Amino acid sequence: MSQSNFASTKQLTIIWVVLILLTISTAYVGFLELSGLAIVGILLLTVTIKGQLIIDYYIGLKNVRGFWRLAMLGFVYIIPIIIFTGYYLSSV
Amino acid sequence: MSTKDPLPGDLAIWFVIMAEMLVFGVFFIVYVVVRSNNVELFNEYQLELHRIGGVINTIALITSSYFVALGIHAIRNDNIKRTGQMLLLALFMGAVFVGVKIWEYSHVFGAGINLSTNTFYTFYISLTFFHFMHVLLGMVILIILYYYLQKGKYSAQSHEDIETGASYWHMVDLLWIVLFPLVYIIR
Repeated sequence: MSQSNFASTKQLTIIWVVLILLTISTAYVGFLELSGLAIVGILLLTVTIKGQLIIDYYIGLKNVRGFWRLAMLGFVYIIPIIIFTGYYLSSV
Repeated sequence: MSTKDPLPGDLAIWFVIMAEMLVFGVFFIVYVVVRSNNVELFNEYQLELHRIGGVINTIALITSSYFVALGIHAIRNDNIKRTGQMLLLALFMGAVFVGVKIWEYSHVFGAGINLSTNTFYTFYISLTFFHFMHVLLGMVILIILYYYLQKGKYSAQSHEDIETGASYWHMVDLLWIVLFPLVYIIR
């Protein structure tokens, strides 16, 4: 197994900055009390992006093949899609 | 060229993680279904939540995960001292989460709100408290890992326990990343 497969400290730090920026942008939307399907969609997209970054780089599944990575990614893709569908159905 | 990596940590923790995520996943879906029949109520009471507390806690958990990831990086390079420092910093951020959550609960329960106040608060209290218990368990795991690290149990060649505990801690972070916008922000 090659050590170079793992994220470097620089990569981990850049990802931390991205995660914090996405969190602050989500919080900003919260403080503005914005609503609507487009806002819900954007917020859920940030959930998916943050989730994938954590799964691939912090947990270290980026180069892990097979069921476990797909199952973890499934959570951060499928759950937001279901949430969006629920919000869409309750708005029509 | 990228090669295939092994699953980090003990295989058993991955069954635990999958089970936990399934439970929370079902919880989130039920929240959305119940909300769809009580949209006005959920939107009204969501505004009563302490969003600043939620934001601080999100930053605390993300930063804690970052320190744990740095700790894994350090142990892979056999840097025991730095691994210990990173675990302590991760624990500190976990303690920030716990402190803010207790402050938040003291305000909620101090206002006479409980599980039966209304449907929104039933979900808010049960979902966040269930997650809170996972944070506490994760912190206990990090303390145990730090203890054995200081005892000289781990090295670059042998640190599966740390990867196992780290995977659990990242799961706790991952769950909060969905829970926070769902309960505190999205309306």
